[in-house]
Amino acid sequence: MSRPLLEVNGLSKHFPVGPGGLFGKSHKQLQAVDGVSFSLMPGELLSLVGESGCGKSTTGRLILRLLQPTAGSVQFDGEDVLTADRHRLKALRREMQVIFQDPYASLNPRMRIGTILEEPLVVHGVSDKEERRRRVLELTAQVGLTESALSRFPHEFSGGQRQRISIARALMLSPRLIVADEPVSSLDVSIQAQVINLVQDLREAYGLAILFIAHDLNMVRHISDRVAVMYLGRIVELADTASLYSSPRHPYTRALLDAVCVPDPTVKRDRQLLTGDLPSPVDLPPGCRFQTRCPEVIDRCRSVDPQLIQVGAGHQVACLLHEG
Amino acid sequence: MPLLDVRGLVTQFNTPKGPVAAVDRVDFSVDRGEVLGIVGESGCGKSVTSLSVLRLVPDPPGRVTGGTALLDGVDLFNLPEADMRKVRGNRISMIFQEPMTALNPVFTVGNQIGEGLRLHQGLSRQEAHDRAVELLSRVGIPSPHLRVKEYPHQLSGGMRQRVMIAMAIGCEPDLLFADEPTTALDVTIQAQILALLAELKERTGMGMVMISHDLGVIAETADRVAIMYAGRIVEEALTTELFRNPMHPYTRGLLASLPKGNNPGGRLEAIPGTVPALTELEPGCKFRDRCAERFAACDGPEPGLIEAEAGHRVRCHLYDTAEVGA
Repeated sequence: MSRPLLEVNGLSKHFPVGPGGLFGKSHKQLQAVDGVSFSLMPGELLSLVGESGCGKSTTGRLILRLLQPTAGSVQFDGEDVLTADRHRLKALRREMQVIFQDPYASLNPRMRIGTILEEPLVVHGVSDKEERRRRVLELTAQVGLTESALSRFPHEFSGGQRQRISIARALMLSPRLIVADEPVSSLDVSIQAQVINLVQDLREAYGLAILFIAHDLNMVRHISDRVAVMYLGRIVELADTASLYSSPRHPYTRALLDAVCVPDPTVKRDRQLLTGDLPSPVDLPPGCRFQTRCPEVIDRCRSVDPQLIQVGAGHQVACLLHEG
Repeated sequence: MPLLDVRGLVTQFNTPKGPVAAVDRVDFSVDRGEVLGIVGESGCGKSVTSLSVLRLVPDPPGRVTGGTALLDGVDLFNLPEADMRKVRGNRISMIFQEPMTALNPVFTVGNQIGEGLRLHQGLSRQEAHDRAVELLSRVGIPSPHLRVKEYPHQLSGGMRQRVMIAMAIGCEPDLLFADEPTTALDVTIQAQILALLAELKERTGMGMVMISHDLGVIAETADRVAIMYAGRIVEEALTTELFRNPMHPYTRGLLASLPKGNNPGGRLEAIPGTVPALTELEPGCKFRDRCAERFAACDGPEPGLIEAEAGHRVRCHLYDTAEVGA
């Protein structure tokens, strides 16, 4: 087996918050991401799922060093991303690209599509104008746009088309890893399928590894090799897709899957609804972070913080019920 | 007589390219205790439909230019504005998608819930406050006597949506429009809100119009479904029937494009192309440019909404018979 393309270890990001005054130092910490570890093989698609505020997008940004982590390490193909100097970081970023959720905000409205697509090549020193042109045309065709698109501006395109442009831009430098942060969430249902198919095709063509950040559990099931479930900054369960969906171990994963609406009116639901409040990420309770909403909470959950442990082949869970 | 009966609703917006019909000759009705689902993608007119019935379409640029909306036989479009105000929030309520923008940030939630009660039911300030506490507890907000004094920014998204619901049901409306009530929420919270709405409907017997793009939410909540495309209803049937036997190629495409879980990693059946801009609509079927089953008749006049099977109406030339609808 080859070595992982991406290895994330103990990654944390704590934001200082709360009353610190203009010059005072804030002592409260918001633990957006806390001790996240996982690895990604070349060509693999791992999904990070969880509800708003669970730290999934922050994790993606930390890996790309768009945010500076508080602790932990990120290795890309054996090289430490977090300690790389400017020169090395630029080289690494050729290999790691990103697609953002909002295709309206992530394309510069004043630039023509041709310029937008060419920019990564210019930045990374592809000096041959002919070659740049050739590459732009190649990608434009691959994402299903025509050459006439190149002279137009972002506002002339629909959301789905803009997301195609974002994808083409991300692929311009032939990266090995793409962080896709909710790439289809803002698109209409009929367009989501188009973009997901495109992502699948390109993944195959380029052997891309993808970190897919999403909250649509039906879509995640469709495209992922493995899935990591996050809750309040931690990974609470990590498994291959089939195993996670068929035998979820963590009570939170079960609640999450149970809450998904299925487009089939003959399925009768008898849900166990979560009660209780989400604790503030600034003021987490001791013990398990899910204790306030967990239907299976036991006494020890209030004092012992569960660690991610192996419970089956490639299946990890952080829950006291599965320890020992 | 249905609770609400809308016939031939047309709502136009002025654009630099001339007036366009965001809602075009739409008919639907809702009974007491019934949930009608309206499904469609962005810009199909599903939200404008509900705003039109409530006469809340901003004018200019929008205007209801045709149709009737009978609430228990009384046409809302003919009511003087003063009478219409007695309908809104009292007999018909609405829950909006984004509770943060729909709530007023400078008033406490108790104040906002109480406003309708004082206006429509003549409650005193104290009575309205007590009733607001009761409503907050009914929608499942913990410590309602404390929360009632808080401002919207102090509440989470799920709680704000509950406040919106508390506000909407305060006067025990006959009809509730829920416009994407859970789209901005996480799935575990969505499940709670849907359960709450179902329970309220059971208890009060109100009719509900559930507007959503999420076929999962619709399958779970609606008794009957209308599918909208480019301002038109293209298919309507009982929910079980519609999901079992989708007839319009658009409906079939929508259902086929969803990931099923039985084909992991396989290709999704996408609908090609994009929704046409309302300013660029041509006469004839509005879906034909994206339709896999297009044939000669599709270049002719737009198909009528015909009853292809009992209780199942569809707007598509594939089902043309001698009978032609509106």
